[in-house]
Amino acid sequence: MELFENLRLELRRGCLIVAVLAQLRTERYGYTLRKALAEDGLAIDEGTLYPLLRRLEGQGLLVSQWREEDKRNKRFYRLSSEGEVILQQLLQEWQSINASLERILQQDK
Amino acid sequence: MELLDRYLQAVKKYLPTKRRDDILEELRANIMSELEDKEAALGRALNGDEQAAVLKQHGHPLLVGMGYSPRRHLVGPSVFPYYWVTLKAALSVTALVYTILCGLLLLFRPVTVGEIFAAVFRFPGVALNVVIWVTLAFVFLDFAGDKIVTKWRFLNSWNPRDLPGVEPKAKNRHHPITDFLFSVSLLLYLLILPRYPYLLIGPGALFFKSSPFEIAPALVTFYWVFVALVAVQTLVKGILLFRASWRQHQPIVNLVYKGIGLIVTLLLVHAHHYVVVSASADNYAHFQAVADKVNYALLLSLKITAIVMILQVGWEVGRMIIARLHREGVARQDMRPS
Repeated sequence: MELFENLRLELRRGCLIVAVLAQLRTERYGYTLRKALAEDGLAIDEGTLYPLLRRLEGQGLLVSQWREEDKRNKRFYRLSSEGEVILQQLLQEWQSINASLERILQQDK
Repeated sequence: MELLDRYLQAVKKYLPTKRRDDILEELRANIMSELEDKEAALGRALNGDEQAAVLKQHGHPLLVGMGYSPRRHLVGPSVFPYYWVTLKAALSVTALVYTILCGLLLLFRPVTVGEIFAAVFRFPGVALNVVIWVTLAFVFLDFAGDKIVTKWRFLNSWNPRDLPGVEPKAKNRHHPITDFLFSVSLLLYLLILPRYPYLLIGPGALFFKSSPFEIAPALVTFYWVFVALVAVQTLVKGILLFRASWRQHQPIVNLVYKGIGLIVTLLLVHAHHYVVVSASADNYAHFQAVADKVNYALLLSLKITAIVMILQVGWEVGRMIIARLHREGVARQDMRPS
């Protein structure tokens, strides 16, 4: 069970980055992004998501700005132009892996 | 939202200094939104337990704060927070024990200045050994599986309501500018003292000048060491005027000053002679006997001072360690692997 959990976390890790980048084609701040991901079935810890946003921004994949909403300053993130290119490349890679897996699994049947 | 303030205060201690305020503001906005969302769903304000549950869900302050640190490779990210806390505790205890042992050795055994410096410069080697052994232990634990560390029973329960209260804004009991000006005045006072000794002992200066006694060379050396110490303090205080972020390290800086003061006092203890009889004095034997008594009395008071200083330094280091361990709740309360 522990082994499965470790492998599951590894599998999710890469997918989460793609999901975050894809969600941020629309501008959001941390909490609404987390909610949107959870609603789409990809729940992610706050402690993982919020630092991840900072890292992706540091890598130039996201841009952010402080803006007031509901009388409170919030940091809004969105995909940068470089992020869009990378996202497209990652999606192609993911589709390619997915297709390969499908083929492998088909062979087993 | 006092509980949220306490939580953010706890997280703040583990955040990278450079982006600390920005990250905290973002965390506050996100958590506030979540709390408001839950209040809107319930149609009422959240009670303390419900707020605590949201914060607990958010993660232990140590894990949340460390999540923003740069990635490390030797010790994996899930074990790193435990490693960091253990390393800091181990280094603090090592420093405390080393200081007390060296202090006692220097006090009860005649030593040279070289030996004192050797003791000071030996500490980095001792500390490096501690770092190496703790790191190796955690590399092994990480390799063996982070579950070993994260299953530590005493690390697995924490309650946001047990977090320390919000610390009041630092009262400017010692305003940095006043502090700096005081230091400058003290430095000037010390520098003019040899020329105007009556500023220290009043009319006694005249008596001393015409007496058959002289100040021993050891005391002159001590004077210059003391002047140098005050000059360094003044310089640091001057820097603190412009680097406000350094002020958070003030307690450690003060401790270093006290440590240096202790070393200087120990040097004085080993000097033994503070007052000497001038070579041209009549009745030399009689005055030498007086000088011996004065020296003995001064030596005794210096030994008592040194013991008090050792206890004081030990007490303060101990307090800092306990305060740090308490603040961190040391991660000794839960840490949920992210």
